[in-house]
Amino acid sequence: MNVALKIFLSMSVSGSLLILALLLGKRFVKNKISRQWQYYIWLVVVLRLLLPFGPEISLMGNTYQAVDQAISQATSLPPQPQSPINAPKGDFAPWVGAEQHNETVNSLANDLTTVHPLQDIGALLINHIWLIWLVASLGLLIRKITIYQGFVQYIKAGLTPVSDIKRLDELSIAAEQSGIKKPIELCVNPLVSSPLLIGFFHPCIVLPSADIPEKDFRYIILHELTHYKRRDMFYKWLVQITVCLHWFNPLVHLMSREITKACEFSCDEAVLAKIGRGSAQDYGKTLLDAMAAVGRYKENLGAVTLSENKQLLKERLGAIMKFKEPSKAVKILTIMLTLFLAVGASFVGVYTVGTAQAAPLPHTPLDMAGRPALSLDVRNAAVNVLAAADDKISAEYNGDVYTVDISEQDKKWNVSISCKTNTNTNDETIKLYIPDIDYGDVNLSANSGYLTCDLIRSGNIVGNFNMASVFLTLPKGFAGSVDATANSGYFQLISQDDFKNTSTTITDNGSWGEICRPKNFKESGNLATFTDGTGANVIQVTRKGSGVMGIYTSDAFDTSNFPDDWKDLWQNEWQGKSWEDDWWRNTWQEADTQNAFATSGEQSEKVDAASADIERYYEADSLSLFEITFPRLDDDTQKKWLEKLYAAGDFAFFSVAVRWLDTNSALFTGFAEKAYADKEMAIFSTLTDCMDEAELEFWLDRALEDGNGAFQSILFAKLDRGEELDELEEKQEKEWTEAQAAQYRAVGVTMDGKDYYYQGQLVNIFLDIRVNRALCTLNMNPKGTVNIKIVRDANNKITGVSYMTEAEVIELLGNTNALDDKADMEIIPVIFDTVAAGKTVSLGEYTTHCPMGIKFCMTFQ
Amino acid sequence: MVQQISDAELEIMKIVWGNPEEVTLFPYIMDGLAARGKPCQKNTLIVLLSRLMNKGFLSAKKIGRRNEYTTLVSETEYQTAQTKNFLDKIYEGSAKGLVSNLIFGDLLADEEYEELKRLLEKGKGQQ
Repeated sequence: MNVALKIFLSMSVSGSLLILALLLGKRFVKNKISRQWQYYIWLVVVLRLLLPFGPEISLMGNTYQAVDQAISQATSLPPQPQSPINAPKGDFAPWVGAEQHNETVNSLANDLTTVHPLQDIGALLINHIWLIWLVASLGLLIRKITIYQGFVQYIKAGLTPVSDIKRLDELSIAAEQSGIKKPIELCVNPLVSSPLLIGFFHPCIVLPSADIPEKDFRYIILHELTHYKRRDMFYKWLVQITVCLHWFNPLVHLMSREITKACEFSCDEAVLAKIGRGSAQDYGKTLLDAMAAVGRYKENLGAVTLSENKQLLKERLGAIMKFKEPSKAVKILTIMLTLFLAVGASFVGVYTVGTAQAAPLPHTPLDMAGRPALSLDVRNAAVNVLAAADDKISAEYNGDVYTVDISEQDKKWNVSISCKTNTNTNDETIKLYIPDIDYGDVNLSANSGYLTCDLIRSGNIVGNFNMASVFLTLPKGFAGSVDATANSGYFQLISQDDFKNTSTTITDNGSWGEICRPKNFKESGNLATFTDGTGANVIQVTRKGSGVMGIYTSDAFDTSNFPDDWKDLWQNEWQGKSWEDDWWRNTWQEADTQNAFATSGEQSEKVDAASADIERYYEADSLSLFEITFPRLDDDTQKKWLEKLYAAGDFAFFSVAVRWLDTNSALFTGFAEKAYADKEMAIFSTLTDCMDEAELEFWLDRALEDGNGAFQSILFAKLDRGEELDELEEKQEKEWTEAQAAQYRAVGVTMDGKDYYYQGQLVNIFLDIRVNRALCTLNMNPKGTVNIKIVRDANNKITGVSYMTEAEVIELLGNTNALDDKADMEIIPVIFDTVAAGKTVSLGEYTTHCPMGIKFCMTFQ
Repeated sequence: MVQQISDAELEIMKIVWGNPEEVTLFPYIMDGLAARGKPCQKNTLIVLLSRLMNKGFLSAKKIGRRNEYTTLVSETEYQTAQTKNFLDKIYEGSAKGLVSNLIFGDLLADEEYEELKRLLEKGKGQQ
C-alpha cells in the first residue's frame, strides 16, 4: 500500500479517536466549560487530522505494523495452493517469507493475471486506492469552492450599500472597540434570509434589510464583527478542507457539524460577555427575529451567518439564557483538559514517521544502507577530527573547560562539544577521534569555534557553520555530497581530487567578504559552478553574512590563487616574511598544541600575541581577521578595544567585536547604556542586533518613557512593530500640533485648517522661528492680508505677535525663492549640539511627492 | 455614464470638488464633514471613499501611508448627468417642460429670470 496513504489513514484513525473522546467528554462538560474552549479545542483535532507529525513511538505506529503484515499476507498467500509450479514445499517457503516483508506484491499478482483476475483487481485496487482518495478529495474541494463562489456572486448581485452615516458610524465604533482596524463594508441584500459576513480580505456585513431596530442592529454587527475578529471564516475553511481530505470518515463530517455549532455558541458567548448578562434576553430575541425567514439558499457553506437552523437555534437560546462567567475551578479544569487532549493528540501519533524521514535525498548517489550516521556539534571550542585506531569515537580534552558528549544509538553517533565558560578563547584544541570508515549522513555544525576535518571519505555531509572557522578537506576518492552553509567567519573546502566527478555549486549570499575559488569554476551572478565527469557527487556551498571562504583544489592552497592584495599585506605589513601555505591554519593549531599544558606565563604571552595581531589587522583594515582574532583576547583587552572602537565611532569593527559578547555581561549592557545615553544611534543599532526580544522590549519601554523618538524607531523596527510606531508618531504629532495651536490662541492667532487668522484677518505669511532655529513653522496663504511672526523669548516661550516688516518679508521670500517651489519647502528640524567631523548623522526617513526632486539647503550655526 | 451616488457620498464629493488643491487628503475631507455639521467615523469615511472609487468618482494614489484623492468626475459633469436624469424621469427629456415649470411655477426670482433671459439671447446669438 502507498506509504503516504498509510500515513494519512493513520492520521484519520487517530483523529477519529480524538473526535470520539471529545464528543463523549462534551456530554459531561457542556454547560460548565467556556464555549470558547469547546470551540477552539477542535483545532487540536483538526491539526491532528492534517499534520503528519508525532513522536516515533506511538499507538498508531504499533497498530499499523500488525495491519501491514496482515495486508501483505492476505495478498500473497492465496496463490500458494494453486501455484502452477509443483515445487517441493521446502523450495517455496522462502518465497512466501520474502513476500511478507516486501511490499511489491503486485509483481507476483501480475504474473498470475490469467489465473486469478479477481485477485489481480483486488491488488490493483489496493495499490491505486490513493488515486481514488485523491480524486474524490479534489472533487469535493472544488465543489465546495464553486458552491461558495456561486453563493458570493448571488449575494453580490443584489447588494446595495447602506448609506446611512449613523449606521456606518455605529459599525465603525463597534469595530474599533472590538479591535478591528480594517474598514468593514455594510450592505443590504433582500435576498439573504439572515445577516451574514462575506469576504476574507474585504469583509462585508450583509443585512436582509436596512430597516432593523437600533438594538437588533447593534447585536447583529457585534455578532458578525466577533466572527470576523476571530477569523472564523478561516477556521471554517480549514475544517472544510479537512472534511474534503477525510471524506471517507463519517466522524470527521460529524466533527464539522459540531464545530459549526460550537462556533456559533462561542460567538454568542463572546458577544454576551461584551454586552453583559442583562442583555441576554434581548440578544435571544434578535436571534429569533433573524430566524424569521431562513432557508432560501445554501447559506451556511463558507459564509458566517447569524443563525444556521432551527434546531441549533433552540440550543443556542438555551445556552444564552444559561450564560455565566466561568469560575476558578472551571478554569483549572479547562487547563487540565487542554493539556490532556494535547498530550493525547501527540501520543496517538502517526504511522511511519521514521520511514518518511529516511527517504533518500535527491542527488544521493550513495547506497547508504547500513552505514552509520554521524552528527557533530561544536560550540565555542576548537576541534580537530582525527582517525581513531579502533571503531569507537573518543576525545582528548580538558574537562575543566569543555563538555564533550558522545552517544550512540542505532548506528547513529551524536557528538556534542561545548565550552563551559562564556569567554572561551579556543586556546586548547580538542582531539576528536572517529573511525575512518564510510559514513551515511554526516551533520557538522559549528558555532563560534574551530573545526578541522579531513578524513570523511564517503558520506552525505551537511554543514552549518556560524561565526566559526571551519577547515573541511575531502580526501582522494571522496564519494558523497556536501551541502554546507557558512554564516560569517571562515570556511575552507579543499578537494584533494580537484572536484573530480562532482557538480559543485558555490552560492554567494554574503555581505562583506569574499570567496576564493579555483579559476576553472564558471561564474554567473552570485553563483559559481563546476561540473566534472559523472557529476555524481553534489557539492553545494553557500556563503552568508560577512566572512571569507576559500574553495581550493589539491595543489591550490598556495600563493597562486590567494588574492594578491592579501599576499602583499601578509608579506609587507603583517608578517614581514614571505608567504607560507596554510599559515592561518597552522598558527592556531601549533599554538594550541604547544599550549595544551601551558603555564600561565605562556598563556599570557599568547594573549599578547593576539593583541599584537589584532592591532595589525585593525591597522590593515581587515575586518574578517579582526573578527577571528577578537575572541582570543582576554577580557581586559576586549574591553579596551571596544572602548577604543566606540570612541572612534568605528562601528563596522565595533559590530563584529560585540558579536562575541554575552548580551547579559556587564560589558555589553554597559555599552548599551552608554550608546543610549550618548544617543549613538549607529552603535546602538549594532547592539540591538545581538539582543533577544525581551531585551529589545526593555529598551523600547525605556525609549518610550524617555520620549526618545529615534531609538523608538530603531527598536520598533527590530521588533517588527513598525505599525505601532506610526501610530505613536501620529499621536505625538497630533498632540504637539494641538499644544502649539493652544499656544498660538493665547496670543490671538487662531487656526482653521491650514489657514491662520490674526485679529480676524486672514494671514498671508505666518512665521514662527524657535530660539536657536531648531524648528520653524512657515505658512503662506496668498489670499491673506497680513504678515505676522511669533515673538519668543530666550526660553522659547511665546511672548507675543508682531507684524513683519517689509524687509523681513523680502529676506524670507528671498530665501525661499532660492528653492523652486516655496510651497513644497519642508524644514527638517535637526538638534545636535556637536557633530564630530567625518561623522554621519541620520535625519530620519522622508517621503517626497515633489516632482521637481529634492534640493538640500542646510544652515549651520 | 455617471453612476448614482448616495447623499452621504455626494456630501464627500462636494468637499473634494470644493478643494482648490489638485489633490485632496483624508484629514481635509474629515474636517470638511465636521465643518458641514456631519462628522463621521474614520472607518465610515474610508468605506464611503472606497465606494466612490468603485463608482469611478475618485481615484486614489497611495503615497507612503496616506492616500491622495483626485476627482475623476467634475461637479459640472455630475450636475449635467443628474439634470439629464431628472429631465428624463420627470419631463420625459423635454427641457422646455422644465423651464416652463420654473417660470410658471413661480420658482424663479425676478433677477434670476432676467439673467436666464440674457443667457437665452446669448445662446441664440452663438447659434
